[in-house]
Amino acid sequence: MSQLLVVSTNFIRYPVAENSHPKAVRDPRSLRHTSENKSISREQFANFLEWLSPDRERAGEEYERLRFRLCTFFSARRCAFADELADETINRVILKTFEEEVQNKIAYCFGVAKNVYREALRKARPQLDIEEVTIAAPAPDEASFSRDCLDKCLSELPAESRNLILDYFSEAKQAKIDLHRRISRSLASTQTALRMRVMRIKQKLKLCVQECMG
Amino acid sequence: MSESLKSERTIREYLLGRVSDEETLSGIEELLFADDEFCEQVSLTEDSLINDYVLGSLDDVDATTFHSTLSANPERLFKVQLTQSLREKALARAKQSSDRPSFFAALTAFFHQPKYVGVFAIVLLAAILTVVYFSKGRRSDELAELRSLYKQSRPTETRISEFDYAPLSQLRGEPTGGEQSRLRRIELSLIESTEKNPSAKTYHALGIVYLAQQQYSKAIPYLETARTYDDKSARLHNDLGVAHFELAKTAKEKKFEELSRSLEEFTRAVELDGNLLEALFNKSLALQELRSSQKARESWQLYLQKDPSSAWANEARKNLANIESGQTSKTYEQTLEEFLSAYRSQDETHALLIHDETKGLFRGSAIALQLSRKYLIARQRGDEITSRECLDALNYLGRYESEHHSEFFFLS
Repeated sequence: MSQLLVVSTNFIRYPVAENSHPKAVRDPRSLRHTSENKSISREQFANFLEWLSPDRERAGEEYERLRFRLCTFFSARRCAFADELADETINRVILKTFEEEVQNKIAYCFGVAKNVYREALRKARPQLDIEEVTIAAPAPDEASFSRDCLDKCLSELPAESRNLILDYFSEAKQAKIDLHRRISRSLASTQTALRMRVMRIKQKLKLCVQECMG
Repeated sequence: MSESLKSERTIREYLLGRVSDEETLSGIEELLFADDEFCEQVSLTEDSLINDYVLGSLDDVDATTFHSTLSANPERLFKVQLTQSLREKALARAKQSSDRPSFFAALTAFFHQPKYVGVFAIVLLAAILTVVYFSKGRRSDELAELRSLYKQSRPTETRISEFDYAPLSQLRGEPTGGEQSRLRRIELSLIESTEKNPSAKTYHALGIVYLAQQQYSKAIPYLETARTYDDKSARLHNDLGVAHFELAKTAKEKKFEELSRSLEEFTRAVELDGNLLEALFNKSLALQELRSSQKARESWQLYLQKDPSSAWANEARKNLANIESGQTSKTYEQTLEEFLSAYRSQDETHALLIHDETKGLFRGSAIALQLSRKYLIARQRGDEITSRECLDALNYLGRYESEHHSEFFFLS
């Protein structure tokens, strides 16, 4: 029996689960299927966002934060497919929120995540003989990063934020430490506040680039 | 325990998938889902890891471990790719600006044209005359000049607001002749400013001048006057705390009173601005001097979370290490003797600090427990004086606990 590892794009490995196509892209914003093959409609997803917060903008932030928590949880537990397990968790929560009243939403999601984790430990991913795999098409390019989208998103940032983020990454090692100290001093802020600011700008850019890439 | 879970180091290890102890792992996960602030901290730490990875600041082991987490975490991988692309853009932009003709070359070309030289000379002369006219009586940046005098060694153990790091020199001695005249000029200029333009800023600045010259008794009235103008300035409270802390070193009878005052000011400064590193650093020092080891330890750890890498952080680490080694070497008997010494000299602040520090332990070192034991032994020996003292001290602690914490256990 040979090794697993089927379709590989850049550094991502996708399992060949029984019912999925090797090119399946786990875009959290697309239509979903749970592991029991129940489908999640767009309407259900929209309702889920509203369940997270009635305020639309805040709902988006809560969703991103939830996804971060789940991916971090599964990744730190050394699960091979952290993002898929995060999606599975969210899918199950979406289905359950309409069946039962939930008081503490994030705690509930955590509980579901722990169940998903235990199940993942029990399940063994199917491994295929590499000889049996026929690659019909080139692997999807979803892991490659669009520099054009990044240019577009950078141009949409306010000039101050754009200059800050580019200055932040322009130096290396010791010079970087001195530069960050100078930037934080010039902004009359602490280094922690500077790191927060840089992180926020990157979060905005990430969402913008992901949307641009489609 | 929850403070060590929240430390930057633990979070980094967690994100690198290197925490295998189930209790620690579960503790972190509980916090991650229950505490939004902690979640933000984890997010920030991950971002820092990504930045360090892309900028080549991680050591080989960490870089390899971090890289291995990317295959299972496409979200993180995307963030790495975004950061790498930003880095490439930033370097390209930096290279572009260095390829442009230098300012010096442009200036040289400009001065080769005679007609512009005359115009430039006239403009320069006008500018000089304007500066001279307006600088008379104008308060220039005295504090910046003051700070420049202390670049090599700093005058106080505590941090004066906005003074850069310099080692504390025990051998600083008197200022040189040149420094003295500059100090005098700064002092006179600021005295004039407080007379012509009394405000929180001018009084605060003058207070700092006296702090820097280690004239703490002189600094305090000016800083307190500044506070009457602006009670919400974190830096002002911090500097007032500095004055009291440094004064405590030479005040024999009122040492703990001054230290307590300093702690109040540093605490107030931190309440007003939780990110004011000077105040956080100073508060930790004050707690340490007051022998409140547990609180000092927590305070230093909090400081190091906010400032993990500066020269100040190195001092913070040394202080933390001193606390750790000091705690293990002090015996229970020494703790009790220290308490009794403070109790006998009616130094309530110190006595109650030691009691607060140990009461939660309820084993060996707890003062109430030790006093009870000592009382029983003294009674057995017929030592009336010692048994009386222990009983009085226990009653004193009992009254304190019932009045301040509605805790009647110590009275029983």
